[in-house]
Amino acid sequence: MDNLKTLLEIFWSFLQVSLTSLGGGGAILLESQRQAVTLHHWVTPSEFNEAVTLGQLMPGSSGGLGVVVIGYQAGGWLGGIIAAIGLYLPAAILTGLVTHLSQRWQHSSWMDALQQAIVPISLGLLVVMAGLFSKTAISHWQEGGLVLIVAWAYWRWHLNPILIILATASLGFWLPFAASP
Amino acid sequence: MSQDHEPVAHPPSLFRLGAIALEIGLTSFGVSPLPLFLQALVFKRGWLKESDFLIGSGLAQLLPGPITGNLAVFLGQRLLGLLGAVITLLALVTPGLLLTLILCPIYTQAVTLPIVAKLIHGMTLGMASILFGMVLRLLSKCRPTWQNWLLIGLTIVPILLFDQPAIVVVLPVLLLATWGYRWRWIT
Repeated sequence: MDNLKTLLEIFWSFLQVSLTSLGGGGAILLESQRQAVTLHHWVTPSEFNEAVTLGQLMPGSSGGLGVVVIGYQAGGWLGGIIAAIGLYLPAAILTGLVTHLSQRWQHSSWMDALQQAIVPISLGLLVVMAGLFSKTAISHWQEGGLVLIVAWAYWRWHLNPILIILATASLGFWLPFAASP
Repeated sequence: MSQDHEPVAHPPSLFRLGAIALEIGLTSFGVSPLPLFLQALVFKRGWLKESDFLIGSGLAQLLPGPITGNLAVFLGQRLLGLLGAVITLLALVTPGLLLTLILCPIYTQAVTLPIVAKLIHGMTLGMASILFGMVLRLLSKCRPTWQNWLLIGLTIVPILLFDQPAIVVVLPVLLLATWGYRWRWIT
């Protein structure tokens, strides 16, 4: 029974993370930390950081996979799966509903205007995301130059994004100024 | 922003969409599902338009929750309805979920090694580059008008330069822009 209670707590905690974290990765981290470290003491702050780091190295939707480690620490294998369901499912249902409504009312002139309005804002938000990554990662002008050159190369030659990330990740080993995270 | 109304290619089968999402789920790192979905569904196969993708990535960022998961739901739903959304999300997330479950009892300690911090540092630089490059690709396809540039700037500057919360900045811009498009002040 204790086990069931823990699983329910895991689900409820990450459901709250799912529905309150606006803006993706950073917000998910903050709210997960509050739930897992401060409120429930499932992991210590350093275990939390390890969980997030392991999540970042995983393929696919890596922004959220750190919660699997936390769920595992709190409630075993099932806890890990429940944590992922709690994080992904509520947001997915909300996104699905909004998408469905946008299709249903696609012939309304207001919905058409709203969808057109999202396009430039979405471009702006992509630049913001890129800018925030740059702010955290660029600690030296050479790294800024690297980002500009790689961005230009990706634009011109449509290189494979996975190969680019593997290449810059291995550059992280070699370049001395890339030491500080 | 220029809306090209040319017909879009036939929608994919559920199996093909699932296979594409699974490949992305198995091989992508960080935010790279965004450019990979854009390449696979828009540029390569023409199942969706650039503007559809941008509506999806905008919604995925404005709604709460993981961005790549939300985007997978939007793309799947737009292409093949509810079942498409379920399959795309599952195919994207499940490989990483299983791998994390396998690794977390063994490798959580290993990630404290300094070498991992360097690796992630390099990955973050790569992700920033790809996102900038992806924006350049989209901009060269969408040909923004000066009003579009203004809206893009109104989104970027307060958040990035003045550290304002995204939702506080985006809501007024979104309302203004919707109003503008509705009465055709903005094209």
